[in-house]
Amino acid sequence: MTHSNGDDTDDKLSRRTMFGAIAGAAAAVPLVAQAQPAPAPAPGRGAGAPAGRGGGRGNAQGGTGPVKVLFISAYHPFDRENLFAALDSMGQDISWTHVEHPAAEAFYDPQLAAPYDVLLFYDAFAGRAPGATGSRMNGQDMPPSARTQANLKALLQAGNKGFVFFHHSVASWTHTWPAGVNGSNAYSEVIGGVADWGTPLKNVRGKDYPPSGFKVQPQHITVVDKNHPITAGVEDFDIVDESYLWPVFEDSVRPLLRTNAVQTAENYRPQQAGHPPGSSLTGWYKAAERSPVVYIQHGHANEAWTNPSFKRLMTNAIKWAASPEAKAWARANEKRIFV
Amino acid sequence: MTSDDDKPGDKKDLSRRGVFGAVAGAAATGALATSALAQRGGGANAPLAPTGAGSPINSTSLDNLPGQGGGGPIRVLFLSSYHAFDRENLFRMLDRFGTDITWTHVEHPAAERFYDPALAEDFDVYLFYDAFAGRRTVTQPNGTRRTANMPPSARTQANLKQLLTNGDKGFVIFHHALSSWVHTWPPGVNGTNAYVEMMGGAADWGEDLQNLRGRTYPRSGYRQGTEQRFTVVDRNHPITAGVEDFDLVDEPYQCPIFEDSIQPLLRSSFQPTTDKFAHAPNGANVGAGHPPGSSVAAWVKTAENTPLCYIQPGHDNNAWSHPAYQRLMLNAIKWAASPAAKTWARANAKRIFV
Repeated sequence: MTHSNGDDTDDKLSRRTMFGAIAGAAAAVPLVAQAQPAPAPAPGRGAGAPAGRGGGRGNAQGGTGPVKVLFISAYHPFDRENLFAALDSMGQDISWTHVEHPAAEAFYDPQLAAPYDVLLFYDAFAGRAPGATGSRMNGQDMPPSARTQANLKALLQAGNKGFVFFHHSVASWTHTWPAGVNGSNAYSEVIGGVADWGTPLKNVRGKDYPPSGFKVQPQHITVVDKNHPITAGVEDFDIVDESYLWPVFEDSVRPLLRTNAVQTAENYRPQQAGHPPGSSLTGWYKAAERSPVVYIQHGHANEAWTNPSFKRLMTNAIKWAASPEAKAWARANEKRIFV
Repeated sequence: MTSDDDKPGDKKDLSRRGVFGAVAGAAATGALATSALAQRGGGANAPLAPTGAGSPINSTSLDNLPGQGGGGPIRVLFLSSYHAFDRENLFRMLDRFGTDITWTHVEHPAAERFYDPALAEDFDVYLFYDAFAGRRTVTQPNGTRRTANMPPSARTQANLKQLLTNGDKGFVIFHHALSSWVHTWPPGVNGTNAYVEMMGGAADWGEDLQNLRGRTYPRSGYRQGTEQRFTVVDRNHPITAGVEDFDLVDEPYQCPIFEDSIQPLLRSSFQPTTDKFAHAPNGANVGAGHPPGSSVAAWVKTAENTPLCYIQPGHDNNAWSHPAYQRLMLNAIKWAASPAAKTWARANAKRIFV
């Protein structure tokens, strides 16, 4: 059990709050007289410091909002607590449930996905087994099972979920998802771009690429579509975040955001030698089969997650993806991808 | 991608999920040895962490931490939800086990889908830190919201029964997971909530527990910040191997535990009686008339053909960073995954579900 949580008032009972009415009342009273003397704050806590959620202070964990989000991650380390806290801070709008690979891919199954409105992807290297060194940077890529393929196709064709991808989730299934109607990796075609920072990309719309680039740098982001719900309330903004040099299918997406980062191989690393100049797009939406899809390139670390413009964009993207308008738009602009 | 220092491809002993490198991999080597990392942030019995906003974790400093998710051979499905906890520090304890386990997080309501044996294929051990599974918040006609306990679906019931009957997984349950499905799982062969019988006890700190072996219990007690000495009462069990008696400040419960159906491993020096829970201004957080609780703090048992371990402490990082606690937990996971535990469970199968 935890201490009382400021959010656990009657008018805002958390979906995950442990008490019903009875205990809610009891828990509203601070626990003061414990056997142990009140502990003094521990000074100088280093990297091992708790992230400060010793028991539900702050925003309710998992949120309490109406949009039900399945948050899919794994295989790429990240600053977990701060990203979770960023999702919690959207908790008036969303309730989110975390699943990691390999469990996550079970939820491509429309039946398992049924309780959720939006699938939010922060995974990477889905399908990749660790390599000899144990790293997934250069591990063996395993194809999705026939059932996994059929599930994702059915889910996107059903058109009743929204898909929001951000940052490194462009690196899932990049080498093994079978080609779609245009002969290119169908999973990458769902998103509208593809990246792999360790292994060269083969046959991306008929072309091979060196490893993708990544670089944390200050950027100025311009909103190029100010009339879309996803950019509502978002002005041009500055952000320190990790940009990519990578193939983006500009002719298949609806641009929302562009960066001023210099998108040439020279501005990245030697591994990118020969990489063609990259797209400046950092946000877009599109349809995949009959489903609305959003991709936001930003979101490497807490300096992005706490950026007010990023938070607004992400919340807007989730809400839009969940909306009837987005689903109607996706059906009207249906894009066949899977064979 | 992570920080600019990452140089893919030239590292050894990487974590399965430490995509990049070496640094994380090296840190993960020797799971328990690296518990020094934990101690940096306040070790055993250190004061409870401040529960304010907390200091942000610098994303670029993941380097000194064990690889996220681990890379070990035992595949652990870690189920949580509905009860807030200090997520990052518990995750780090699991990461520290990374040479032995690879762990995957799933939250309710997604988590209960993995009772399905078909979805269980990728996992060896189910590690439960969920609470109040089945509980929903509902809006009443007058607009106010309240919680309601929903029964598991027929399929969910059948899945768990089948999973436990198959006997090819191990279950490790700790701390507040003792409160899942406690009101709604249908009775088993002895007439009591079968999920509760699976665990060997039950707790709910907000609502009375009805009809547990024919008896109603007032709401359970919880007592944070309680200094306890944990005594190993079974020194020959693999789960207590290398674990000496230890002191820990944690949160014990006063709740029903079926002592005649479990094999005790640990006992706490704290005897849960109602007077000791009178720390809330409104009297006590344990319901009036609650019988004295048990001091058993860890046990093993079988459920159908499946080996199961319950560990009571584990409220916060005070426990998770304690070397004895870490050893106990890792031992429990390894035992639950072992052929020996499964053989023992089949030989001592306990029929629970109807």
